[in-house]
Parts: sequence; C-alpha cells; structure tokens
Amino acid sequence: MAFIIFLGVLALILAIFVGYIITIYNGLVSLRNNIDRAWSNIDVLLKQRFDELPKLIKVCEGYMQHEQKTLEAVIKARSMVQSARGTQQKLEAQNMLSDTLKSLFMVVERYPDLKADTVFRNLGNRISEIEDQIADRREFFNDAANLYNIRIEQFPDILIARAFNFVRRSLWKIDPAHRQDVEVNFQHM
Amino acid sequence: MTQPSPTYLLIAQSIPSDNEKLAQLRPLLARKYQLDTFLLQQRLIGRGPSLIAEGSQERLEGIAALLTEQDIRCWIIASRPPRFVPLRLRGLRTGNGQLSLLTDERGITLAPEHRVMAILADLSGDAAEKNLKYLMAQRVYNGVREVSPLSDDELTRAILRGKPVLDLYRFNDLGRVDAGVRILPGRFDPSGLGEHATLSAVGNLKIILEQVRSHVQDLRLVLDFGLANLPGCRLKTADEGLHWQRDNLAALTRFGWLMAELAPCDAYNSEKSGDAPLPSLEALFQEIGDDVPVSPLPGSAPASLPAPPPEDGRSGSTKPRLTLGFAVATGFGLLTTIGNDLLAAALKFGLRTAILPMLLSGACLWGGFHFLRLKRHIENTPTSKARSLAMGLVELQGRAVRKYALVSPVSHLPCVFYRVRKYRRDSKNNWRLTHSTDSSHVPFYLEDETGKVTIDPRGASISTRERQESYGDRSSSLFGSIGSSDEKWVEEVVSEGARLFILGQAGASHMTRIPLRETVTKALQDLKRNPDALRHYDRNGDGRLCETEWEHARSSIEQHVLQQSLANQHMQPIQSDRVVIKRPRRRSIPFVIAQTETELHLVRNYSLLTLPLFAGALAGVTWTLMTLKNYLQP
Repeated sequence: MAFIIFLGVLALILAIFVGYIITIYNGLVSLRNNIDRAWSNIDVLLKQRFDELPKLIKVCEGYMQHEQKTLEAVIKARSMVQSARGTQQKLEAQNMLSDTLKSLFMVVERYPDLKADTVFRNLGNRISEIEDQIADRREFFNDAANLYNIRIEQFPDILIARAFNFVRRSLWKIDPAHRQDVEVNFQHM
Repeated sequence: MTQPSPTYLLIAQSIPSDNEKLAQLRPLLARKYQLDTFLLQQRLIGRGPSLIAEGSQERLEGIAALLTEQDIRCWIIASRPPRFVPLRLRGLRTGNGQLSLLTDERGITLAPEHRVMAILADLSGDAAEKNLKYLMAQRVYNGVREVSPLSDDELTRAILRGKPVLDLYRFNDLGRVDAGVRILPGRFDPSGLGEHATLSAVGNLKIILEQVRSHVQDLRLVLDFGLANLPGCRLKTADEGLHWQRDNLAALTRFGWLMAELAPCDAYNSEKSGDAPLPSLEALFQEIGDDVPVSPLPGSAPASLPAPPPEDGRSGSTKPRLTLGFAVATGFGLLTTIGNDLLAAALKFGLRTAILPMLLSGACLWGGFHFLRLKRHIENTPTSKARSLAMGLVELQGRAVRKYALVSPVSHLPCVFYRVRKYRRDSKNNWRLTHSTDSSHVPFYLEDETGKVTIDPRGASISTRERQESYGDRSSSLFGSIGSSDEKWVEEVVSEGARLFILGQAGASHMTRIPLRETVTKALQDLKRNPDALRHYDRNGDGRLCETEWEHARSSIEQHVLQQSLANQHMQPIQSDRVVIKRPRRRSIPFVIAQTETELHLVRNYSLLTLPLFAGALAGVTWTLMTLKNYLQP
C-alpha cells in the first residue's frame, strides 16, 4: 500500500511538473505572439498616417505654390512606403516619410495663412497625434521583445526555449542618422 | 563677503471655489513659472492663506502680478523663523478697562488701544478633517465650481469640539508683535474670570476669547490653522509619532508668526511698485506662444459629474460568483438547519472514503495553476499607454478618475468602485451574509501621464485596499440606518485618485466615429435624390450629368465632406471615450483591476498564493491515499 501512496504522490508531483512546463511553454508562445501583434499594431498607425497624407497635401497645395519640391518629396516618400518590400526597406521608407513630414511642417512656418487654416491645423494635430502614438507603440514593441528575450534566457524557461527553438528577437533600432546631435549655427540666425 | 539673498515666500488668500479665470491662470503659471497646476488648484481653492511659491523677489512679483489681476490677494514676505514662542497663560485679571494675562515670566496687558490677533486652533485635526469632508461632499454633489468651505461659526464650533488652543499676539504701534500668550484649556487658573468662570475648560477658553473681544477694539480672529497650506504648519495626527502634539504646537507657533507677518503688510499691489500696467492674460498667452484657451479649458473638470447609470442586469462574472457563494452558503445553512447529526455523518463519510481530501487536493491544484497562469499573464504583458492603446489584451497602470458622480453608500466617499456586504448574526452567533451589492455597472476612467481611458469593470476581479467594517452604529444611503448590534456592514472602496493596475481587453466603444468613406457615400446618395443640387453640377445644361460632370460633382462632395469632418473634429469622441477596457470574451483570459502601487507587488502576492496551494495539493493527495489505504483494507 505504501507503494501506491508513493506512486500517487509521484503522479501528483509529475502532474504539477507537466502543468508547470505547459504553463511556461504557453507563456513563451504568448510572448512571441505579443511581439508580432505589437509590430502589426505599429503598422496600423503607419497606415493611418499614410491615409491622412493626401488630405494634408491637398490642403497645403492651395497655399504653398512655391514649395512644390517639399510637397513632391512627401509624395515621393509616401509612394516609397507603398512600394517597400521587406521589414528593413519598410523601416527606411517610414523614416524617410517622417523626415519629409518634419521638413514640410518647418516650411509651413513661412505661410501664416496656411498655419491659420482650421483644416490644416486639425490635420497637423491628427498627424502629430499619430506620431506620438507610433512612438508609444514602438516603445511597447521593444518592451514586448525585451520581456520575451529575458524570459527565454531565464531558468527554467531557457530549457523549454532551447527545446522548442525559441530564438531571440531584435528590438526596434533607431536610424543612426537620428542619433546625431542637431547642429545649430548661431551666426546665420 | 556678500550676504546670501533671503528667500521670499509668496502667500495667497485661497478662494472658495474654482472659476474660469482661475482655470485659465493655472496653465499659464505652469508654463511661465513652472508651477504645478495640480498643486496650484489645491492651494488656491479652499480656505485661508496658502504658500504658492518661494524664491527670488523678482520671480514672485511676476506671479503675484498675475494673481492680483485675477482678484486674488497675495503677499510677498521674507522667510524668517519665529522670534519667540508665546508664553503659557497661568491666570488672568480684569480691572481698569484692561485685561491682564499672567504668565510664568510676566504679565501682559490688553487695553482698548492695542491691536490683537487671536488664533483659535484645533490640535487634534478633527476640524480640518471636517472641513475637508464638507468640501468633498460639496464637490461630489455640486461640482468643483460650487464649493464653499465651512463658515466661521461652523469652524469655531468644530475647533472647540476638538483639542482647542488659543494663541494671542499683541502688536505695537509699528505693527510688530511685542507679546504672545498661549492659552491651553484647563491649564490656567480661571478664577480671574470671576462670575463668568465655568466648570468647563473649553467653556473658559471661549469666555477668555469674549473677554479679549470686549477689551480691545481691533481684534482679528484667525481659524485657519490646519486648513492653510503654509510652510512648516502641517498638522500631524496621533499615528505620526509620540510627539505629534508637541510638533503641532511648534507648527502653531510658526503659523502664528506667519500670520503676524501678513497682518501689517498690504496685499501685493503692482501699482505701488510703479511698474507698467499689468499685461492681460491674452497678451501673456501670446508671449508664451499659445492661443488663448477657450473656456472651459481642455482637461479642466466639468461643473458636475453625471449621475451613475442604473444597473442594467448584465453584470459579468461577479454575479455568478456571488450566486455560487450564496448557493454554497445556503447549502451549508440547510445542512446546519437539518441537523448537526446529518452534517457530521456527511463529513465522516467524506473523510472515511477520502472524497473530502481528494476534493481539497483538487481545489488546491486548480487554485495553484490559476494563480500561476494569472501571474504569468501579468508578467508577460507589457504596460501600454492610454494614448496609444491597441485593441486586444492590454495592461495599464494609472490613477482612477470618476466618470460619474459615484459615492460609496456607507462612508460617503467619492469613489470609482464600491462593494458593500451586510451581515446578520444568526442564532449560533455566526455572521451570515444577508445582502451584497457593488458598483461594477458604473464605468470610470484610468488616467496615466498620456491620457485617460474608460474602464467597464463588469466581470472584473477587483481587489481593493480600503476596507471599512462597522457594527450597527452608522447609517447608509443603501441600507438605511443600521441600528442593531446584530448587524454589520463591510465596505470595500476604490477611491478616486487611487493607483490602479488593470489587465483587460481593450475594445472600441459604441461611440466610434463613422468612417469618412461612408459619409461620402451617403452625401452622394443624397445628391442623387436632389434634382436641384444635381442641376448645380450640370455645366452644359443638357439636363443630365455626363462622366466629367459627375467626376467633378464627386470630387467636390468629397472635398466638402473632408473639410466638414476636419472642422468638426473637436466634436468627435476623444480617446478616453473611443476605447473601453472590459472583460475579455474568452473566460480563460483574466480581467484584473487591482489597487496597487506596482505590478511587482501584485505578482509577488500571486507567487505567495501559488506555493502554499501546490503544497496543500501535495498534502491533500497524501492524505487521500492514506485514507484510501485504511478504507480499502478488509
């Protein structure tokens, strides 16, 4: 009978152990999917920004007759986003679009009538709101990837991660050009 | 060697309630002088003088100018320590139209020509608490714009009911304090009051105050100690160390000297300094580079919150859980009613056949894995921000803000959630649940540093940290008066401003905006039905629209709808109402609302629950097998 008791206790320990392994495995799967979801959620906002741009360009065209180059740069960057293939290419195209948008908003400073236009202001606010959300979601993506990377290197999760081939995921990296200090020349101001 | 420049204090007289001018002034002061808007609101609205800022005189003059423009009295004074502590009163004498106050060191005379400031203060903090509760209740029911603090009479009565102290400061001809007396009830010989003396220590204090009033012509009574936000004047409570009363007396001395500094000074007036006329608010907003905000300001509190919505009977899992609890309680009650013998027999059978240990072991195992999964869910979900919430399972941390004027039914506190249970003592002296209710049908906001989002708490597992229990000596709006000692209530509350952790499903609310494409389609359909409008686009006048004309009409309508949509953008629902966090559709995904400071704290709590449950499961299974061994043996 003692043997049965021993077997029973062993079975329960085994059940707890298997249950624990399943919990760890499911957790890792959910973490990996969280990263993909976080990435797709950035795409949703990038698409929203992409859709808002024609409206912005339409409003700007009326006022900025002499800034065709800037507007064309935005249009070109937008079409590059559309035609980009692969993550790296998409990232570069999105960064370029962000840069051209920044230039556009800087040029707008020269057009007080455009700045005062309600439609333009609303569009500008909407785009800057989306930009803030994109920044938040990039941060969220990095959090999700970081949680996953930590988890697959921690004990006992590392055993499951190795057994089921859970590999490290890279974080969102900023374009090196955006890390450089802004040069301000006071002599020309 | 140059002397260090003294620190100056800007003190302003609080105003009773918020107004639109103040709502415009706060963000301006925040941007121009880096003052905290929340602190400003706290300090400028209420009763008594409050410290607004400290620093150099030039900076404070700028702030003072803006405050004065909004009709707020303010003073700039140098920060100095008290010159002396008021002497303790030991006795008093009246005669020759004078009141002599006797102390251990000397006698202080009060005559009609003297100017005196009397500070009546409550050291227990009860009066300050009463004023706070009064303000909160007013804020709950009337909104922030209709708040007024306690009147002088009400406050005097509240102070005299607590631990009152009377400080008297006498001013000389130059407006400087030359003497001070501290009067503690029961600590002086009241015989000098003559026929006015009473057996009540507090009564004698009141009579001294009346005597001072009758002997001097210029008496200023100050009741704001404990209510005013002044440096070094904070009231301590009994749970803040052994010397709280001594510290409160020291704070009272500092308060007295600060009030004495304010008394002879005129309130700040920019005209005196000969400066240019004050700039208007509009000019200052332009200087900072902002537009003049349209009142009410975005983010400023509405005049009053709407009443909570009625319960719709669609409560989530809280009710089934309660129903299950009721069923178990009823079953247990039934068993006890039928008789102890049957219950004892059932228990004995369960133990003998190992059914009970097996059930216990199973429950522990289930509980252990439940908390383990919950812990993992929380650990594995990164924290989102309210501004950029994506649909799906999200984790948020922030402060609770009311969406509706919800007040807890027993303690009358403004809250975002309450749960109240009423118990009655049965014939065997056990507490039995007789009534239970909660406010899970009332949504609220969770606010973080980026914005706020609506929370629909139906079906959530809500853990609170504020719990109150009372035995039939309180009345409530829900249960009426609980007069019997055989009844008790337990109230759990998540009060407004509490720090919350939320894990739940983010989804779109019903107020999502209509897509632009749909609006354009509808506008085009309307155009087709309207011959007059169609004629407007018929350029060649042939009575029908050709392809080019239709394209022009379509483009024009699209442009019009776009412009209208952008112009009306401010009328569309804001993020806080667009997204709502609610119970996930899949029951296996948790919905947790926990009042906690950090996520780590919550995770640690779940870990602490998991280990004993697994240990309990192991013990349970050993017990089961041993019992089975005995049961199966012939």
